[in-house]
Amino acid sequence: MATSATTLEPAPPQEAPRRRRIPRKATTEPLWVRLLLITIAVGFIAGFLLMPLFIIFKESLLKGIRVYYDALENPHAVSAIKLTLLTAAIVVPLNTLFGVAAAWAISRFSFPGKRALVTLIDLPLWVSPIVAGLMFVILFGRQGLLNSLFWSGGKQVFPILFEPAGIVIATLFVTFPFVARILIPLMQAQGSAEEEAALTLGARGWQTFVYITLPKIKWGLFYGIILCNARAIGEFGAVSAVSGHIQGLTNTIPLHIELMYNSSQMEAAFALASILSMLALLTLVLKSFFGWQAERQAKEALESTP
Amino acid sequence: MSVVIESIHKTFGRFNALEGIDLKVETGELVALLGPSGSGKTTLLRIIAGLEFPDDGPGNIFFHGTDVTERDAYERRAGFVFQSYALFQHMTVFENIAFGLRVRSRATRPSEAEINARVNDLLGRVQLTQFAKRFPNTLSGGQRQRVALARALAIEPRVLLLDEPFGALDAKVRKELRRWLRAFHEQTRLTTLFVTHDQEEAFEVSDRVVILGEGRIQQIGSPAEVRANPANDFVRKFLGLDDESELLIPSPLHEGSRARELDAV
Amino acid sequence: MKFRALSLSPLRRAVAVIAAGLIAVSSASVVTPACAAEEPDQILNASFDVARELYGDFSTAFSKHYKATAGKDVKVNLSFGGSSKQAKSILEGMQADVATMNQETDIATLADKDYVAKNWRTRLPDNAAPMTSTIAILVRKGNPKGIKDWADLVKPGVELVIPNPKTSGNGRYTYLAAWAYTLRSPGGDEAKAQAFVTTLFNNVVVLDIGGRGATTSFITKGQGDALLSFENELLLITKKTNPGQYEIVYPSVSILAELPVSVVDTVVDARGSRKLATAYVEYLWSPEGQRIAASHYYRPRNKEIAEENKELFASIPLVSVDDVFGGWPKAFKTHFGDGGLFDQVYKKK
Repeated sequence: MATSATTLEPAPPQEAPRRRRIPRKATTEPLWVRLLLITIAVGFIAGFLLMPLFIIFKESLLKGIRVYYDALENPHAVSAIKLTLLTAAIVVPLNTLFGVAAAWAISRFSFPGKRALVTLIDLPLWVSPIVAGLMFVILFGRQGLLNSLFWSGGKQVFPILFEPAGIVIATLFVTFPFVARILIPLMQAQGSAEEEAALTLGARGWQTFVYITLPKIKWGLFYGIILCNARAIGEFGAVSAVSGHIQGLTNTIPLHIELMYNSSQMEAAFALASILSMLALLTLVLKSFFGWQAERQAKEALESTP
Repeated sequence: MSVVIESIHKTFGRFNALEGIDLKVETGELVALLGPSGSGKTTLLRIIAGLEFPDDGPGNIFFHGTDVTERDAYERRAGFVFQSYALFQHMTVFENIAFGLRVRSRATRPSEAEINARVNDLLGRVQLTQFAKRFPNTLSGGQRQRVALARALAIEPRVLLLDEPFGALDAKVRKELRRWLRAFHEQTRLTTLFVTHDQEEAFEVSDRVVILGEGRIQQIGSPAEVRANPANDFVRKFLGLDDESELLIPSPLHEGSRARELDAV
Repeated sequence: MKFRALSLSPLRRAVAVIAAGLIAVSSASVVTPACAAEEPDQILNASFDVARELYGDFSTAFSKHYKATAGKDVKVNLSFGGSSKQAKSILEGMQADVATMNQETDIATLADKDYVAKNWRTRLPDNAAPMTSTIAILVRKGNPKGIKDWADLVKPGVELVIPNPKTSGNGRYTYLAAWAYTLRSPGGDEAKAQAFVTTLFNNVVVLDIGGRGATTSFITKGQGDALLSFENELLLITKKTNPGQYEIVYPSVSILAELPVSVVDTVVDARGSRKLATAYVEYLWSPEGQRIAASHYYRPRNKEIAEENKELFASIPLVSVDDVFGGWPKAFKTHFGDGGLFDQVYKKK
């Protein structure tokens, strides 16, 4: 018998021609139900996503492109953009590292308190962002619980509250779970067999991680990173509580938008909002792409295990 | 390379997986670890490989006189073939086999040319040369298993460990591969341990059989010995020697066989 | 499955990196310098949202003035937020050298906790309020409902937009203004005042959290026939943002809203910035400071400059919270605390 590359499935047997009938799975709804659901979904997306986007761009350009650019070139707007990007640049890598380490520990090890750790990782998702921010104020504030540790002579020992560091910490907290939550089930589904194989072949821990684990979790990782980034850039409540709202120093883009809005400078507010919207759209596109790839990878992992 | 196991104990929580295991495998032997599921045979194999560690205590593992008990898996050079193949899905067949050579430290790593030569040689030996650039998910089960074997052999292991290597394949393929393995072993004379729950397989292929049950070694001996003199009730029951009728146990495939063509798998 | 073979080092590494990152961040970007041996050249002014442009312009003017007179380059950082929120931030340690608020209660909070000296109101002129405002009525062009005074606001069918007195100083002033109006009317007493205010709030069609929200409801969403808010906000609408579409109607009497300022004593003493901060605050009473206030539609204290801008600010009798209500602490407790009179007023709705 010649060596064949095909799988072991037999060729489908020849069938007698059947009557023409639209094939339907047992779980498919009738046509009108499907149309209704699709219409509702599309209407929802158009109304809640597309319309606001359209309005943001329209309002920001209402007084012309010159006003739009002026709003973005305003020094306080520029520092808000810089602070937002700096925060994301710190928070995203740290939480990625943490997420990978946590997913690694949880999917490969058994240790006491593992369940608690998984629950704890999810904690920032249940807490309202404002509550999270206030939590830091209650901890680190001058009237706070730890004020004897963090305050001396009316000044902070470490610059946390009302400083960029506080914004970073608050953002770190709320974006904590994103990478971990994607990777934990992915790595659990993928199993550790390939990693064990790598070890027996002489690969050390870090080599196994870099050559075997990382390529396998690549798409899930990108997906988690993009979510983490989006949240870090757009975070409002937690940052608002710890920021101090100092123009040019501790205002992020969302806070600056609020300030513009509150001082009746609508075009400026919308101009910056349009920046955030563009970032949001980009995030959506990337996330869809990565998410699709990650799904594909997870499916392959499940299918290839006999 | 001989393998000596002394007083190995292993518990998982409250479950005693292995108790007081003593075993000596001579250089060049092909030994089967046979037993029902839950008997601890895979655990024992993984402990030998360094993927698990025995409980703290007197237990030791020696590879040809060297104590490897405390060594991590990557230091032991024990080639391992997994039941699920565990091929690297994102790498080609060639890359899979080359992996063990590529991750070596600069001092011991062979040159690209040498790696090429070795991998191609192995591909030839497992008759998969034309699949070098393929990805594992396009191969059949039997082909994948042969890649796994080639991959393990690439590092020139001191001992070869196989965990139910043919468990996931259908009966016909299993038989073919089993014979092929025996022939291969004749050629390489590599100390080999393999785990199986299939007594036919164990008896056909191995020089000696280690029967495990309930975490303990129930009997060690050549297939003929074990057949003729089952050591206790467990062995008798497990081998189905309870009723007085003679069970037809196929004669081992030891003498005079050579590597066969393996087309159909 | 236990897996000792793979070390925990990624986890340890992650913790180390996080710690290092935090230390790097906090040392790289400190807003408040750690140590002030000599007089600092930066101060922070904590102010309220709407005053962004006012204090932006003022601070620029002050820096120029200080350079010209004291020969030193100084920078004024500005923080804007809800007035009460800013007070809380200062309590929690925000290093604001100066607080420029729009309600007395917020600075009083700081004085209660000894962040600000108890005599803050008297150590500066005019009850420490360099500028004032009042409550007026905004109607749509042509004044279709013919609103002229408080009495017209309680007519049936008139819809009002007022910010919530529970959450907004703006709203509280409206409430007190209406109360004071009734008290000053012939035969007016506390009971009648409460009844009047009740009817007034019965006509409210939306009770926003703050002045900004109320403005949005009235202008953008087109709700209500009349908006009651601070005069400076209404002037901003008729002069800048929506000229020609709305008219301001001044009632026969309204309330005096004093916008208080103070240095934050604990901060200026710790930072050694008292001289600079005091100079900043006092400059609000200078002619230039007063002109800037007027240009942002706040009533200046300076008589000449008020005269220069008299077309902007209608001359109507303005009663003060001290005279009519015995001061803000008392007014707050009576009307706006939990179980205060406003709760009764609004419950009747």
